[in-house]
Amino acid sequence: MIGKFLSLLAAFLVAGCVTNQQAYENPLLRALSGKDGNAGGEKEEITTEVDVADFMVASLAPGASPDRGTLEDGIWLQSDEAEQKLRTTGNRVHDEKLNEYISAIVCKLAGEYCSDMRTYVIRTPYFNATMSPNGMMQVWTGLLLRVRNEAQLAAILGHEVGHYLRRHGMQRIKDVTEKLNALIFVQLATAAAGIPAAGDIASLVAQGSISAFGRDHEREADGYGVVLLTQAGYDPREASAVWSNIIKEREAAGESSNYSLFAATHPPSEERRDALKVLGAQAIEKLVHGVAGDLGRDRFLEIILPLRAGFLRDELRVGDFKRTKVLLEALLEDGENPAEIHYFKGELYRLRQEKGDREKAVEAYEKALDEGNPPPDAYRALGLIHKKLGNMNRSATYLSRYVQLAPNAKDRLMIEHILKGEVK
Amino acid sequence: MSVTVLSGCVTTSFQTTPELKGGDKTHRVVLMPVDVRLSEIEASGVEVPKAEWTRQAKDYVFRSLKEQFKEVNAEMILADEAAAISAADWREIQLVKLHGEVGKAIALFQYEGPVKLPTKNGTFDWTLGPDSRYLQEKYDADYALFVYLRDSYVSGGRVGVIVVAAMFGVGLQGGVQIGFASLVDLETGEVVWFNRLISGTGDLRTADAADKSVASLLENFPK
Repeated sequence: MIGKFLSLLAAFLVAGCVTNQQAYENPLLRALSGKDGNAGGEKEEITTEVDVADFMVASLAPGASPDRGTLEDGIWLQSDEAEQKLRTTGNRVHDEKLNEYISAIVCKLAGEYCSDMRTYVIRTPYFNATMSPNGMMQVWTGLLLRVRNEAQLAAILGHEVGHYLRRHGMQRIKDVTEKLNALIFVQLATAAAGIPAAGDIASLVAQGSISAFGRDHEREADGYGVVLLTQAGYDPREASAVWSNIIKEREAAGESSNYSLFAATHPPSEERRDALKVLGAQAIEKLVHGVAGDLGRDRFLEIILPLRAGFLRDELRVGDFKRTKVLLEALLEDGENPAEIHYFKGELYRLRQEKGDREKAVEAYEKALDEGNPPPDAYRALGLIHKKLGNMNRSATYLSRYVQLAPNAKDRLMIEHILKGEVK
Repeated sequence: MSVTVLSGCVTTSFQTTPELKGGDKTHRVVLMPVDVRLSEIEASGVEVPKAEWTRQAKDYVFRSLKEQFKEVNAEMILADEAAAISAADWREIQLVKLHGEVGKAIALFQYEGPVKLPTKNGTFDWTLGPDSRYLQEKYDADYALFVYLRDSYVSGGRVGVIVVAAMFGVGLQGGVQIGFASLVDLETGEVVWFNRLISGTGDLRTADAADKSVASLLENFPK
């Protein structure tokens, strides 16, 4: 069991994140309490009683580093080592424009704390960002597909900056070690008295309160995020909009919120959406005298659109087609470069291979062509499908067009062989 | 729960060659940034990293290595620590990371134990590949030496737990020192010598004790 807690502690090193996945859900609890993992049978009350004035104080000075010899010193050392590895990790996104863009937003939000934080964009197709105690921030590419403008992106980044300002990562580790230290004696005592199960119950309680502690941090970071967002001149109502997007995606994909009272380290997305809505309205009234700020949609699109196809390709590789389909529909609704999105819908059907998917794929690729200026790969995909269907003339038309549009494609020679009839 | 409680110090080494190649010539060995971390075991068994101890131990180990290396027929060159930290030298940092993994794999899978690789049949044939020539050129060196050390110490609370557990017949491990030293032939990339250290008594918090640990680490270093 101690081993389990050790890995728990390691997981907590990356303390603040915005994920709505129940990453730390405890299977034992789920088994004890029915499938929704709700141990008490009652849901925690949704909290929307929030006040923007509670989120104005930082707990460390700009440029501060921990006192030598303290626990925090040790935690930072470990985070620094992790950062050295992250800096050279294979799935880091090196696109200069994107990195500069995101770092500039972080600086705008963090103000005089700007130089205390370093942001790394990591190629991972899930909605998440994290903050480590030493100021190392990770932004996952799956997040970049799920925000629609700069204000929404800044809302998440502001949340992470909030974790840093309030030293949440550090507090969490301290809390975990203290609770586990207390726990070990309970376990020894109960084991000695011949009631071994009691030790386990105590450990569940400790784990539950660790999670609750994490949720309070998330709520606090959400509050700080809204304040920073507003002060940086963005429209703070966009923070709530992010969670609306996420809830919509999750519901449409048919996933329950799967909210576990004990093990969830994050408050339910619905609560966050509602609380952020209240906070956003308050922030406009109290901090900027009723003048809502900027969305920054054009700036955001200018950076993200050229990279979007790569992120979508990663998204498809996960193989969670339900979720990706909802994401693609949302992007279509958003209206930017629909030809690209239709192409990826075609790819989704081609990879999913359920009954009727080939027809659906053809239809989606053709829509991509109809939109005008489709990715050359749409021609390639149509050419190969028609070849399989025996429509050789149509196949040749599409494949020739592909070679014409993508003369530097890696598979050009192979496609030319197909066109000459040398490959069956 | 049954745990073998470790005491004393055990080192076991593997090597592909009894001596460094090239006979009597003085070899140039580049010492890569030493990877040291000290931690304290809390009552619960959670290990908490200790930054001050780590910084000091790094310094002790580094000095001790330099001192004890004088007895080996080799000249020690120091790797560019800044390159590793700032990741300014991409190729070097990738080799350091690669060795980190290979070294841990050797320490875990080459030795007798529950996870020893059966198909390896005891053969000692690990390599970083020809890319290690990059370090050969950069430092004009024949070999690279990698040193990894982890040391943990029990807190007062943990001592209490160990005592109570012992009364119920359960042996819990106190602090333990583990580490390895690994010598890589930069021409071929092969790990030519590897020494693993496990000690229940070692310490890296004083210069003298660190000297002893380094001496154990360099035991059987090829002549």
